[in-house]
Amino acid sequence: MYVHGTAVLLRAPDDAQTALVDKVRQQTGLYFRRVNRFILLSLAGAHQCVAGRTPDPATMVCLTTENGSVQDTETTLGQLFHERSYPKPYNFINTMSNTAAFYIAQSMKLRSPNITLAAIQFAFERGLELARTDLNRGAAEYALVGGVDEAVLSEANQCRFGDRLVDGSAWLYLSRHKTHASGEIAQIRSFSDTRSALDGYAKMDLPADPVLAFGIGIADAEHGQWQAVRPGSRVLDYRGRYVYSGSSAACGICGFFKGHEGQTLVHINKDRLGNYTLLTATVY
Amino acid sequence: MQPDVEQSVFVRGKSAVCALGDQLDAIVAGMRDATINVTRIAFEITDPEAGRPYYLMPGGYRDRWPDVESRFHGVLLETVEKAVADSGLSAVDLAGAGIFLGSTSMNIPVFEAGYADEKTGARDYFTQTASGFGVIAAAVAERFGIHGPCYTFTTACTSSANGLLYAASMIEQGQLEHALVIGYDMFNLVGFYGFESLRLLSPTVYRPFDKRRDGIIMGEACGAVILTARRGSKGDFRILGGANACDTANVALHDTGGEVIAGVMKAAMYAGKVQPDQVTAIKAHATGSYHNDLTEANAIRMVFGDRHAPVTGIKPFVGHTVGAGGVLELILFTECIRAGFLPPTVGFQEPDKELSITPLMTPAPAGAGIFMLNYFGFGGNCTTLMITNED
Repeated sequence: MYVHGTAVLLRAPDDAQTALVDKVRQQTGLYFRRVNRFILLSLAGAHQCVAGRTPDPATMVCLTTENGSVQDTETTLGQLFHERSYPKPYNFINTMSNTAAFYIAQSMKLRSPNITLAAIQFAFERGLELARTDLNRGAAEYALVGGVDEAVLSEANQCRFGDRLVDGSAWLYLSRHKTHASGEIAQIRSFSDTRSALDGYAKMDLPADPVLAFGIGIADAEHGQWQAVRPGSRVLDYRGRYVYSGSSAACGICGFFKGHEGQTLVHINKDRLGNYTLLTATVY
Repeated sequence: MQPDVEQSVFVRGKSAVCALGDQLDAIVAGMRDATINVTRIAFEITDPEAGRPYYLMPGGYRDRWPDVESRFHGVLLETVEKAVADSGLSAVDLAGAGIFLGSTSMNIPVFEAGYADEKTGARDYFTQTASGFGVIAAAVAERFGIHGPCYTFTTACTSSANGLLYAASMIEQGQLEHALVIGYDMFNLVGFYGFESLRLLSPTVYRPFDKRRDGIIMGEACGAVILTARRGSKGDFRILGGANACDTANVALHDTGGEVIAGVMKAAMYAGKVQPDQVTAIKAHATGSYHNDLTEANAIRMVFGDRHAPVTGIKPFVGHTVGAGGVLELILFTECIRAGFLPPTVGFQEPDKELSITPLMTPAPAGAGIFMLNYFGFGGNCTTLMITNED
């Protein structure tokens, strides 16, 4: 899949929502009523990715997320259990996180497949696989794939990440057409254990010195064994730059497309069951 | 790697639990006999005098688990276990399978139990404890030793229908050999009170396409199927293809003209290499809401004209099971055909001239054929699948 646009949008979780509303209004010329932070983050990132172009109407939207709309889910549960009232209609509708992908399609006049998808640790990679499937079957000519998550301000997360917690919205605009592309997502491969993942990495057809990046599921102590496979590789620590959000892998992968011309990224991530997903991204 | 020839995709193992029980033979017998198990549930939190009908799983089944959390996982894992057993595939066969889970409510019932508990029901309980929608599929993967990729779809009432579509597409393209597709929505207060806040819940009986239809009646269900490139037995259904798209008319309503939905039906037939006159019957989404039935009826007439194949709806038997409906309705529809009949749209009595659709009112004989399955949902989602039991 060839990359025709990228965006990474990070916001501090205490940034005023009105700033996001203004940003989306500037991007789209539209004012969205009754939308939440998750929807605004999604809209702002997606529109930044297409950067003023008119996307092909045959563009599939795949919004990936860990937790979806945290704000409206919390609000709706509060209305029920604390205020003991019926949920407000738009709070309830927006608990269905696919409304964010709907507003992207509506604002860009897209009528192609529209998917909201979750997966522990691998949401963005799985979304790219769905996009590849739709491009292969001719269901879409282009795909807009994003990873969006609000910072989940749980006590555990705040203890672990402190002021590094951010909202993240990162996107790729993809197609099967190479003309005018700025790069490509060439391989997405999954493995069921460390040994097969290392073996798969060793056998990958890659340039001599790829850039390695580790997702949040890879402990620091594990880095060495991956670097040993290709000693010339350099490590990109986007987790330090992009800090934490459920969409951190999306932020890391999409962010690579700025300032890494001529380089290939191998992004390695692991879920809690010990499964690995390796993704390669090349910037022309 | 792409295969030179597209793989066929078979529906090989299946299991479901819904208001009609947890045994497929008994569920099908109930559908043949027009059995309806509806419970009235009061709005205890807001208005205890008021209530709405709901299709709960049978009490003797759901009461086997002592609390919401154990029931949530128990129903899910037991349903998957039965589907795996029904497929005849081994644990080794399924180790690399993909898991495709579709749900509207995800594990919100578990969080609701936390809010209802005085010890944990403080503000922000969801924010404090949420660990991602993907945990449900991950629990299935862990329990059954499946290491393939997990995809959790949250596209409202098309969630598990989209799971079926992408699982079938990935098998067809040679990306996967097997897939476990699950549709699961358990009774939850957010959905029950939320749909009431939208004034969408019927206070009476379920009667899609009827002139007096007055809304949806919700239901809880879990369904699981194994899709595979390997045929199990001669009667296995095949997924021929499908399509999905977004109707951007309104976040909660489709364009009542039906143009986008008609486009999805046509695209699904094109993907399945099916002509309109080859369609044997249509399982409509048939929610029973005024707008949805109008939209779907307009779309069916746009695609097929006035001489369309028999149309029927499953929801009056099991309720609107939202995200679970994709898998559940596929199972019930195909099991009825396997038993030799197309299920009727029970509850339907009075045709609506505005719709010009009269669904099946009694069971009709069924055999080999090509069938269209429609699913629509909030967020503009439209999904249509084409299936067949022909050789």
